[in-house]
Amino acid sequence: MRKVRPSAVVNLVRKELRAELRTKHTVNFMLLFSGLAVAFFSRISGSYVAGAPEIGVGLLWLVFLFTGMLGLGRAFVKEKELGTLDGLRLTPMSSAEILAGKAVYNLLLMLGVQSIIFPLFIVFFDFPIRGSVLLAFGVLTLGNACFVIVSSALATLVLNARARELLLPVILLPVLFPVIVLSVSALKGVLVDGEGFLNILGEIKIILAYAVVMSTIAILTFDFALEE
Amino acid sequence: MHAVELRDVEKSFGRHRVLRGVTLSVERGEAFVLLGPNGAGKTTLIRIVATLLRQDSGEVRVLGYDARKEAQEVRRRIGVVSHNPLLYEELTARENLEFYARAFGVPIRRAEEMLERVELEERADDQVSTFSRGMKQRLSIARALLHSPQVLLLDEPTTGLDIRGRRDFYALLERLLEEGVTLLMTTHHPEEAERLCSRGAVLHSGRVVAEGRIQELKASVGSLEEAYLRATGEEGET
Amino acid sequence: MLRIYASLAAAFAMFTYGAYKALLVFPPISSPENPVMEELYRNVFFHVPINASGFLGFTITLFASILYLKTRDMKYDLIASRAAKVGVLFITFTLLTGMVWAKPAWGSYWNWDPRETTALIMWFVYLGYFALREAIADEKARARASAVLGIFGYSSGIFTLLSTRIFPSLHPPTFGLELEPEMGMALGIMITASIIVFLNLMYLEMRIERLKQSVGGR
Repeated sequence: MRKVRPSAVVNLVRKELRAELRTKHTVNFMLLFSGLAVAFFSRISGSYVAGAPEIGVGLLWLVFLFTGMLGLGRAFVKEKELGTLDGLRLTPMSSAEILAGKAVYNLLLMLGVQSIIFPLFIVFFDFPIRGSVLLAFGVLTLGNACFVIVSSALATLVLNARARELLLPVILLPVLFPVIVLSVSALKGVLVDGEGFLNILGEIKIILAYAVVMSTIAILTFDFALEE
Repeated sequence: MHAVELRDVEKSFGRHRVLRGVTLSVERGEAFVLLGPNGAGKTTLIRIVATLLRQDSGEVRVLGYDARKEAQEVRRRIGVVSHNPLLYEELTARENLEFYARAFGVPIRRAEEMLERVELEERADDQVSTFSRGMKQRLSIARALLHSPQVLLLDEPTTGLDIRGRRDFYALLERLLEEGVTLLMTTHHPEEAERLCSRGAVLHSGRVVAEGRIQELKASVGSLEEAYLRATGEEGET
Repeated sequence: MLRIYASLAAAFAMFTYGAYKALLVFPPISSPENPVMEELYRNVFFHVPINASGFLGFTITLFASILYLKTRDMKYDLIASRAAKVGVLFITFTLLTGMVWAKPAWGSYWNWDPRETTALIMWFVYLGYFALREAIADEKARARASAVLGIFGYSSGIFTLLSTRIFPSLHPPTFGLELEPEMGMALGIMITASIIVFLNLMYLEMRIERLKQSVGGR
């Protein structure tokens, strides 16, 4: 029931990407929203951030968080509304494969947003970079990986609920809180304090442990979450 | 072994009891029709057999497999066509079928074969969003038949089809029946089902109120429609 | 009902004894660098037991949620949700007693100390749990979704317990608090009393919910 065949996951990811790239509804929305958010944050808080760059790191995470929640929450809601979630459940794909496919696809979307917003952010905020940009990007990706795992798993819980778009952030944000705090702290370490990989290893270990725990719970409970 | 077997199946949503002890069996290779007014529980019953819903109590077996405990085995052997085509609008017909073929683990050429079978090869590379209702429904059948299921579940499959669409649709179902596929369908157009189905049952408020061969149901009261109305006690209203 | 009265009376007696000891009998702890602490430590006898019961509640929610998904018995949904409800109440009081302590000890009621922060987030997790329950009309769908969230949400509880080790925190360590034997005993009595009150509240909540269901409300 819970085995994951890579070919099944690839098939699902490819389907999602193909459908998304044809209309680009979600990608366009996510880029537009995150671009707007960076511009607004920069205008409103730019001068403060110059004095205290760690504020900027927190803002960057906020941008990803809201972009992700608004954009990715749609993925399952859309499948539910169009009924194609039934189509997926009628295939012999395991629930773990469906979850993995959704999470990988969502991570690809977030990586796309990240690759555009991160440079924009550095430009807009005139961010002092003291550490490795590559490492900072890696930390962001790790945080986003946790984010897509938890959001893919919890997004299915609100499918049968009223006001599901409102409900998702309310249940998602607190559960994600540890990742956000730790990755903001690691990101600040790299960007502001110029710390290397070994200095932020503590945070990375905890984020990884969190990712493992969350993935395990998600895989074990996703069968139930998908039920109707 | 029956193709589909239900024993004392109960299902409720909140306080509303949708199925109240339904017992039914469908033989292999036959076409069985479920009749009944809207809200009688037909769709719920089909969705339970299709493993999309869990019954609260009672037993559901499809080709001997328990629909609750062996859902994966059941899913490999059934096809489902409902009024929702379960297709991705942004993808082309071929992409849809190729996606489902991979998901079912059948060779990709099955997608091509099915496109020919439902006569959509000329529109294979058009997005499904450009399709008419009838074309979507044909593609939906192609999707449901990709993995050569032994049992086909049809929930109001002809909703929204024009006369020609219906005729083509039933012609296809007849061919499937000849090939030995078991059909379990719901409809509230009894006259349609008469031609195809050998047996049927009438569902009303979650109970089976009549069951038997179509001829028997017909012989006793003239037409199936009357049998249906009589069984549900609605003669005066229609 | 008699059992409830009896156990609540016992809890009250234990509480009175514990509070008497904590507030009037135990001497001030000498703390030269921070004189406020000499009397302030007494708060431990209230803060810790309430907190322990709150965590007990969320732990009950975790296990009842797992049992629900395994058995689909609505009884476990009732246990899980009521334990969470009383748990939220107890964690609310934990936060309040913590704030009362934080004002003289750390200078302000709220300091975003890691322990405060994580406890507050945990509180939000379980409020989210009830928001989710409120929003789902079908009782089985509600039970299933909230059971899954009950399992996910417990991670915030674990994070709260570990917070003082992960981050530099002013909060006293969660485990391994060193106390005089007599004080340890008083604390144990208070914890027991608090758990008894917790379980009784939870039991009453379950009865209320059953009664509501039997008259047709939600």
